[in-house]
Amino acid sequence: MVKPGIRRVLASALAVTAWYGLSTMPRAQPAGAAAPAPAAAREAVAPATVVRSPRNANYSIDASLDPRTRTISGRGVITWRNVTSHDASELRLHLYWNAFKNTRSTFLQERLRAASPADRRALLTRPLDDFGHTTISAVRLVGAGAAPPVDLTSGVHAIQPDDGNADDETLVRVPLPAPVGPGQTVNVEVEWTARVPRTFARTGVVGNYYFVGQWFPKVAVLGERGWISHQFHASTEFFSDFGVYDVRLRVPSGWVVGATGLAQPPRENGDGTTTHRFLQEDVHDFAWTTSPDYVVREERFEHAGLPPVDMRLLLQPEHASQADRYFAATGAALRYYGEWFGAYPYGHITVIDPAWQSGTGGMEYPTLFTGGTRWLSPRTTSQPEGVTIHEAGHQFWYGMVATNEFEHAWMDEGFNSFSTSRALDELMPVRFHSERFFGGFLPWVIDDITQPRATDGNGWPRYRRDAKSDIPSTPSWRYWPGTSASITYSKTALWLHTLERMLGWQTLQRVLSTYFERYAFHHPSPEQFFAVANEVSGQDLTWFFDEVVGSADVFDYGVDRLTSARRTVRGIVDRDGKKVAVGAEPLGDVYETQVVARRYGEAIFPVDLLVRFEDGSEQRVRWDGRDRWRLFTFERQAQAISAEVDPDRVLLLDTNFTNNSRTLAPQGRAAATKWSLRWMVWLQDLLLTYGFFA
Amino acid sequence: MITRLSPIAAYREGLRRVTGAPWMWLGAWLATLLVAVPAAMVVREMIADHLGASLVAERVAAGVDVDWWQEFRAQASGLGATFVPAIVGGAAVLKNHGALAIGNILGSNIFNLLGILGIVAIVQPIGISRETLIVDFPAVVLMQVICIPLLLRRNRVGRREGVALLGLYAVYAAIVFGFGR
Repeated sequence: MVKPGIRRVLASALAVTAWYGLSTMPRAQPAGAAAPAPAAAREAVAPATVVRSPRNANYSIDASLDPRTRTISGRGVITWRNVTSHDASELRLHLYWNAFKNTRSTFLQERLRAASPADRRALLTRPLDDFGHTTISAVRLVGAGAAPPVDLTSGVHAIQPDDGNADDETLVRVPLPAPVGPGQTVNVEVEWTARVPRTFARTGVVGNYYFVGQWFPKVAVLGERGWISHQFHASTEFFSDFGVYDVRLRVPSGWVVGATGLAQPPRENGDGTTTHRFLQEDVHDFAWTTSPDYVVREERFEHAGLPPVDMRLLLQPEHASQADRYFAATGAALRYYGEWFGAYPYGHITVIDPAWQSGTGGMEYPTLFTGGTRWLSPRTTSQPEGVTIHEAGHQFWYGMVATNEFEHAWMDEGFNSFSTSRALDELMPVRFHSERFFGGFLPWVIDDITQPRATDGNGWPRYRRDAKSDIPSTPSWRYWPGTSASITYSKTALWLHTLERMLGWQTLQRVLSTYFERYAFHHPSPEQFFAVANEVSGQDLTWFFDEVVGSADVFDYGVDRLTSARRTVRGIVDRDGKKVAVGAEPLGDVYETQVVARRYGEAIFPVDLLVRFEDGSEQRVRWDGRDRWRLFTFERQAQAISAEVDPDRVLLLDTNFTNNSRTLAPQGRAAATKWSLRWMVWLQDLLLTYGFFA
Repeated sequence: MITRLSPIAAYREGLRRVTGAPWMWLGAWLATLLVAVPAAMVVREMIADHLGASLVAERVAAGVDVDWWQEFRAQASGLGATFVPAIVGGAAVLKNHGALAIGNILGSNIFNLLGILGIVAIVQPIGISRETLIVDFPAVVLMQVICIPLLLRRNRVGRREGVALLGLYAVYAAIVFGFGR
């Protein structure tokens, strides 16, 4: 028998599904005998005007947080529709928090494997109180009307399709009594309890601050070739289907709550707790946060040609003075991403300023994200602007386009890194490098060092270090955890920026906006992006994508030799029909300049070679870059002074810019003397300081 | 017998001993220089090798080239690996390297004068010696007066100016130690 409380959950879930989803659902007979939505429940939910996504994974959840025991008790109904052309005999649920259950989980094993000795020691000695978990207590197939639910609990078991690690419980299989046919729907009720971890990876608790993400049993994605379901890995994030979320969160009264979706009026329960309800359509995840300490600020984003967005900012009290910076950065993302790719459609967004040392900063969820800043953060540096634009920007690539982050993480993180650096340049054209001291507390701005978009913004140093570590087209969860970010974020951003320089921004912008418009809410594949790029640019760019996505080859072009001298001849020459011996005889008033350009890396890219002459003239030639080396010869009245390959830095993936050029008046030793002397002063200072305290 | 001192008392005692033994300072300075010079020569070769005959070297010689720093940092090992952190890290702050050009030398002196002296004076008041009044203060003023035309004349410090500065330092050192005797 279904308990009255469960009936309410189910009724609410079905109401949501009915109102928001039925318009897009095929009218097939539901395999799981989905119940029609009770009329009473319908009144609670306003119908959506636009249906943007397939809405095949819908959730109605009641959850209660007990801060004394750091536990969440939840009960929800998942209304899932099979959108494939084949039967589904089971469901698969992600229980991500089991990655933090113990050190034998795949997530923590991978973390440990890639960690430095110090990090490894820190991870292995974390207090036992830090660990968390999710435990399912019941799973039931809920039928129509008064039909009794079918208990599926005994069949639930963990599976490990990726690595066979029997200790990993981040993915479970739920066998169904009957297959769910194409277009058919099932309602599955799940009850669970979870202990909130002290943050291991961007979700958890510190003090009274809770950031709760990946917290409920979430159904995996069924594709045409089977379940796209993976365990939780250290190097990748998440993937799930779109749906409608109706979530009621019970927390201590007086605590501020922020969550995915639009807040409904809260309800006092009379027992010291308050229930906060949030509704959201066309999203693929739900996260929330609560704390009694938040300072709340609100502002509206408005920009011509884009829909307005209500921004709600939950700040730590010590960061209240930075509210304008958070709003400006969020607005910049909404504006520039909106203008370049497509408008943000949800009308509201919640920005979370995470608590100090919570480890939850810089994370994206639908209509909500966490930024991150410091108490002291000079305005000429990009904290919190950088992370805010990045996470707000995820609303577009992760939130709406929603690619498969398990297998193609670069399609979200890389595209977003590229977009972030571009938008940040619009908001803050000049920003400086800063160093932080005393655990990051004290910033020091070095205003000699600006942070250029092409290199810093795209994470070029990180890419250089790890350029060969993995082939991007490898499923991302199989990347080496220690270097995955370099490939996912930086390499992708660099090749997109290279494409921008190759094709021009206008063309690349049309590529990206077409891709966004065509595939938002539909989980596109890499091949679909490549096809759009070829179509819109009017070029076959397959060779480029093969290099940058299909291989780990590095690009490195350089100038190996540069000579420029008057043309002479020495030896025996034919003159007036005779053989005449001459010694270094000039051959006219001409300088012969020879340049040897080299391809040191395996990857191939067409590059320009620019030769400058002492009379101020220049000569530029194109090299297809295919041979390992190529000799270029120029004859001019003037002597050459320098030669440079790829002088415009189109190829931002080049791993060595220093060898790109050569001059006949080298300054290397002068530069080395200057900077080594400066280094010597530093070393002597250091030794004297140690000597003083020794 | 071992005397137990509080940290502040130990610091005061150290200061007393150090200020009372200028030759110890000179010895420490020379000893550290003997270590630093050969190490700097190694770093110089590393930087020179990396820059080679590239155009990047011109930018590095003229000022700051962050892209090159990043590249060198990625490829350097051993002593070379300390180069970039040393230049843009804690040393940049202590030397007031808001500007990493010549101004930092003056900035460093100002920090030493106002910052270090201030900190030390808070811990232990410092008496002004006759030597300081007669030699150091006039020397500081004189050096500033000499440096201004020297630095502004060509907007650069060349070899000749460098020799002149070292010569002035030698004169100053001779006066100080002569006075000390």
